Amino acid sequence: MIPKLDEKLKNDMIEQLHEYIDRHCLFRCNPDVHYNECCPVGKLPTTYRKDMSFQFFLRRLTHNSKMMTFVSSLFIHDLFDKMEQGLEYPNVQLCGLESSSIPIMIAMQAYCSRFNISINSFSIRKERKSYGLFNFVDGIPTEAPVVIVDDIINSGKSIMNCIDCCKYELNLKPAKNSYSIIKFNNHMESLKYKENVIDITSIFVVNDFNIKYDESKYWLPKDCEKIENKRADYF
Amino acid sequence: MNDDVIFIKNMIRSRCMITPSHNIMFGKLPGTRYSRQYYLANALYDQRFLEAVARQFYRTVEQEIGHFDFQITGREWSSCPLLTGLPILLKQLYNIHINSFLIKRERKTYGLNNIIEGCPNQLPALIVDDLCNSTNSFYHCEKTLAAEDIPQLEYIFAILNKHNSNIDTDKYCKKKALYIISGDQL
Repeated sequence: MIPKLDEKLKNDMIEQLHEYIDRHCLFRCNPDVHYNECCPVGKLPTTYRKDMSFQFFLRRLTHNSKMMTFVSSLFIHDLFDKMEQGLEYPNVQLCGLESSSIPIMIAMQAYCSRFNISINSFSIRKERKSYGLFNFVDGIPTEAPVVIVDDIINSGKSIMNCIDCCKYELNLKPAKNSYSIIKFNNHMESLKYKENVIDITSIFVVNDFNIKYDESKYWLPKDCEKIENKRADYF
Repeated sequence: MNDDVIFIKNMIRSRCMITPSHNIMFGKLPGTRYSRQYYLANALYDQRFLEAVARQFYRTVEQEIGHFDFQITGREWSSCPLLTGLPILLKQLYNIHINSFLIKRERKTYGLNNIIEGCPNQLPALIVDDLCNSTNSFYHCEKTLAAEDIPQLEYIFAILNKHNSNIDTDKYCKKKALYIISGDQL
């Protein structure tokens, strides 16, 4: 079995994760910049707001092996603690929606392998493949209950998508717990969807971060399409 | 062939070579049909497979490139398990640190319209993928890296080269293809 995680080590990991996200994964829009130049526009047309002033780039964290080891150890220890308390099933497998969750699942598997524990995972697509096997799922699911993981949980739609796919495509039961690095809603302890109630365990909530513009923390990704439109003083 | 290559070969043969009973599948392009599909995603989510790939990656790089002063990249999202798994496992197994970042198929349509996920550094990039067939994904990565002024290594890496011999990578990108197993070995 996995040994207990030392509380001091756990707090240290959370602190380092917070520092990394704050420095590298949180884009704070400069209020002096015209919005049509670089303000993040929301995913849906209705979410376009002129005051939308930040965006999380958590893929920067999920492609950092050190940070992913921290994330996976926090998730795995929490999962196994709950299993020991009888709140969870003895065997579980991991699943997530498309590419945002893949690094988390792979890192959790790698962390488990340190303790000779094998844990299965598979990835769910948003849409069926349009050729070949027309599959919804990458990987080979087993019959174990499914723990859903994601990088950020906002509306919970990706979890709902996973639940639907597990239930109606694969005939699998979702486990009681799901994991994310950040959740948007402080009060979102669990998600009710159809007859399922899924507990959401997150390392951080958005309120843990100062999302206001800070000159010392302002950066832009170099591959940003509109970078040529930026004013010279932002480089 | 060492034990890892034999294990990878057996996993691909048992899990990833899909031949449907009706013997035909719709292809990617209009009018095309597949009688067999290599679907490496069925193995990439298996930890033992990924560990064997990491060990073989280490051996191949040590033999062919001779150093680990590079970062890895690949096109979403077939290479995603490799881009996460290889840095973590190389650190665990050999204490080697490798940076990785992901290249999107298209720019994001919202937010900052970025095409790269992750933090590229100054080291040259090695393009990795699960399967080497038309080399379209390598070509896409090469173009994106050039546009973003990220230096490139003169090699590409794939787990499976679908063709029987070393592919003619000159057709698209003038790089040497490193792979673990080729079509004629299956």
